Amino acid sequence: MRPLARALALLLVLLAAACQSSSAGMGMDFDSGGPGWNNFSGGKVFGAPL
Amino acid sequence: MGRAAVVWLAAAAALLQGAGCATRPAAPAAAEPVRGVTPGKFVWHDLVTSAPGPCRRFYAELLGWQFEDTQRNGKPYAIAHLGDERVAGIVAKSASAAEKGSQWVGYVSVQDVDRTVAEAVKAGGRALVAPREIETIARAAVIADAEGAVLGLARIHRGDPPDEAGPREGRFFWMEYFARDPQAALSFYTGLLGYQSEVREELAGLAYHVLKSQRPRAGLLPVPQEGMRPAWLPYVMVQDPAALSARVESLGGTVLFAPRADVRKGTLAIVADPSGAPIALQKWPIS
Repeated sequence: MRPLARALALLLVLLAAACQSSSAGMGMDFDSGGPGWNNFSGGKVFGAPL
Repeated sequence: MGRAAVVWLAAAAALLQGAGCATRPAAPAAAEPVRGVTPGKFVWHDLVTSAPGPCRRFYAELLGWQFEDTQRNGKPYAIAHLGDERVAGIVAKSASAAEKGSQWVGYVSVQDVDRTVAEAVKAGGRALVAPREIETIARAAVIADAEGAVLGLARIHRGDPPDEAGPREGRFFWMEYFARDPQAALSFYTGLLGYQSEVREELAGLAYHVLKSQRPRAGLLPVPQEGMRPAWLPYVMVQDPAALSARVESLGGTVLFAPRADVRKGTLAIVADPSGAPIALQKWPIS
């Protein structure tokens, strides 16, 4: 029984790991540009007296 | 103090209340019972990038994330970990879209992805990715709103991760929407996602709107700069934004906004990763 119990425990661990590895995240690509903040001048924007 | 700085202080107050909405996007063990759905809550973040390799190194060095190579619907997908917790994903842009810019995409929880996409299109948005099953994990879509900003929609089949007591280092905990037309954006998002909005403070013509769904989930404010495209900006909690932003350029990124004493007491940095995707680094608590 002990080897069987160990095998079952190992199987459960492997199953849990397999489930865990595929249970988060979307991973979708799409054809659209980024926000285009390359010229973001934060210092001028957020701190300057307006 | 400039009015923009005042608005940022108002934003800080909103963040103070909203801190409790921090999400824990990590997947729990398979045996965990089905959880509820909280429409309006951000439940996951993916970086869609033209430079996955440099970005992995960037975020590993900057935030301590470790990456697991996996796949989603047959395509390579890297999941960022902090310890045994999943915090984000990295998707490589297709060759045809690689030159169009990289960005973080926040996925907001909705009850019905298909219906929400249809309503978004009716309200002036468009579907960038039509609703589809993400393996057995979720049904999800990506839209561009009426101003062109990109947002993910997701219905996680096992329900949303529970709200946490507060932000934790290295994890996403807040979102801000920079709108060209704040009133139109408010109308779009309150109609689409059922948010209630509250103006936390309005001074000198600038306003910070807090979007609530049970609790604060995001902020909304005008784009502060001519030519800046509307977009959602994700926030990650860090301990020392000044020290991190000092390392950004050596890691291949760009500092868009360095911490300043007159803006949230120097606790905010906005940086772009090596592919140009903006992300906010916010110390918490602010004072």
